[in-house]
Amino acid sequence: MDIQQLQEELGSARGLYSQARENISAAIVGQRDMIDGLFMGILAGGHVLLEGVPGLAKTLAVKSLAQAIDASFKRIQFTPDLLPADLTGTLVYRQQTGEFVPRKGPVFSNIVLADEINRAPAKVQSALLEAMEEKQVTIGDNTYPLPDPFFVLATQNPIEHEGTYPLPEAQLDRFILKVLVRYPLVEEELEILRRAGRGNLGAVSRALFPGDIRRLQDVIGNIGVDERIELYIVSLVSASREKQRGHNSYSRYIEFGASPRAAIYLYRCAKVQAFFEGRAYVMPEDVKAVAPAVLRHRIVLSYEAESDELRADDVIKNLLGAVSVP
Amino acid sequence: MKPADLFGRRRRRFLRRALFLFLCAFSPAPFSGADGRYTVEGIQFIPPAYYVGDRVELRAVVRASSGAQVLAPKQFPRVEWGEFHEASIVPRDGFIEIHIFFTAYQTGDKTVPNLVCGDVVLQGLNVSVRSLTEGAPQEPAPPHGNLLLPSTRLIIALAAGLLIVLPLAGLAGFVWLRPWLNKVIAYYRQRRPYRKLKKDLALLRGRAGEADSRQFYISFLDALKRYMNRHVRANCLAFTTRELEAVFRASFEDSRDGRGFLDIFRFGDEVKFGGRECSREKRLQDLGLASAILWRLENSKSAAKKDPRHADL
Repeated sequence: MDIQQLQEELGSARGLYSQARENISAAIVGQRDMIDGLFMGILAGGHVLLEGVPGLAKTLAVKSLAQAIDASFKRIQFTPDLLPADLTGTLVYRQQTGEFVPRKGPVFSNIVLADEINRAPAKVQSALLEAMEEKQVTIGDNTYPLPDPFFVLATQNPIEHEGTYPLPEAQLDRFILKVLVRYPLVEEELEILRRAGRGNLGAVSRALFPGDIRRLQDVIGNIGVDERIELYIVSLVSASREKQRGHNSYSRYIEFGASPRAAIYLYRCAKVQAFFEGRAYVMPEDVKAVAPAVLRHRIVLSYEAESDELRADDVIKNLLGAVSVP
Repeated sequence: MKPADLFGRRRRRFLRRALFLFLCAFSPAPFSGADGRYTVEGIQFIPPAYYVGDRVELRAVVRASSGAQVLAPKQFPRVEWGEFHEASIVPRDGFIEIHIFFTAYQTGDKTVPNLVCGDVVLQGLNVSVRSLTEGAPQEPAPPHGNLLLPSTRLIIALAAGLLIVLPLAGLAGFVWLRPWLNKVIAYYRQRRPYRKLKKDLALLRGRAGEADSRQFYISFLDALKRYMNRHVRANCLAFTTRELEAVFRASFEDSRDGRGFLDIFRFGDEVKFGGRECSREKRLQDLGLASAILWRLENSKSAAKKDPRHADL
């Protein structure tokens, strides 16, 4: 595609995106990183894991996103007694006809909020994660495709681990991003307070149709990535797997590095980041900007990191500071 | 006759007489051949006193008639006390000298067998070989110390002195020179990135029209980053242009220089990653701008070092 043509398409696509973002911002005060993360996940064709304490407007953000996109939305509260069929659906016996008919579960929606995903047992988590990967669900003998776009937002609480089932690394790897939802700033919290006091939480008007999502994804797919950027992405991911145990090396803090899937997601997210910046090509700063969210749940920290009270983000910062950018 | 001639003749006569008396005193008695054709007028050993192993010359002065033949012995007799080596005949004015060389290996008086030198036969000769131990004390001398070559002690003393003095002198010199050396090394090291960068930029200037834009800016910006890496002592190679912005802001005294550098990097990123083309003039312009900024940066660094107010920097 001609760069001029791409730039024009990018301009109109950004217009759509900006409108949707503005609409969500009307309902959510602050939390720019979370909203950007949600859009990045949906535009990169992946699913997002949100981690934050309760009361940070995670559910509201996802609801607002669904409203802004004009997409179907379901929320599933994960509990220890949840069954896979509660999620995917099951065969129901119809007395009138004497046959079993499928009853589709809440997973058959464009946007699914899996609230507190780590509170459900592993078999339920697996059922959802399989649907996320395959984008289809099998009920009885039939396989049903999930709607397009299909976007799962899972949340988990970082402080309460009692009675939870932490997601294993293999399942965490399925999420394109892990977005940390932080407390709002004082002035943002004040604004939230005022809005809640007025009972005016803001309505989200529709800005995108599900078809627009596909169009935005196509435009983003055409964003150019130089071969040196590709090499940089691979260098970053492979550097996380280096086993140099030098005293000053970040690698001593990493028990297991990121998988090749991380490189793919880094590549996709860097393109979306370039789109956010209004560029028709990816630059190293795009890769650096998305690297923490893409890598933080894919890197298993070592005991040394724990003893030094380092978080994954600290190690990723060291990693980014060690690998030369093109 | 002049008195001087008279005096000279008398002196020569006196010398001849003295020589005759000397020969008579230290030589065996002269003897003649049986047929009277020769007379052995003197026998002399050179050196007069000799020891075991010495090479000795036996010199016989023979006055022979014109019919007598004097020849060097063709074969010497074998003797137990030593051996004969060689002989020669030396004719002199009115007499003949027979030189016979031998070495004695035994001490004491030894009889020399007849030595046939043509018509002349040297007979009745004795050799007296002396011993080094004669007259020496009975007890063996105590052992000598090590024999030293002349000036050996002086050389040893000088060497020992140098061994002590040289390290001290080296140490003193090092202490004295160290600050100066450190300055020279620091200056050399400090300027090394700049020298390397200048070299790289000169190379790029030469190739500005040849390489494609992308390759040109890859090399150009990498060279600038390597320089900044050393300049700010941070891993600028791992910095993006956005991160470098903060570095430039902190490094350049004149904010216009920082902005100029940043513009070069931003434009270079567009060329490198966005496929933007640029003319040779633009490349040369960027090279010129970078060179000028770097020159100012280096000069400001040197000025800051010289300025005592910046001594602690």
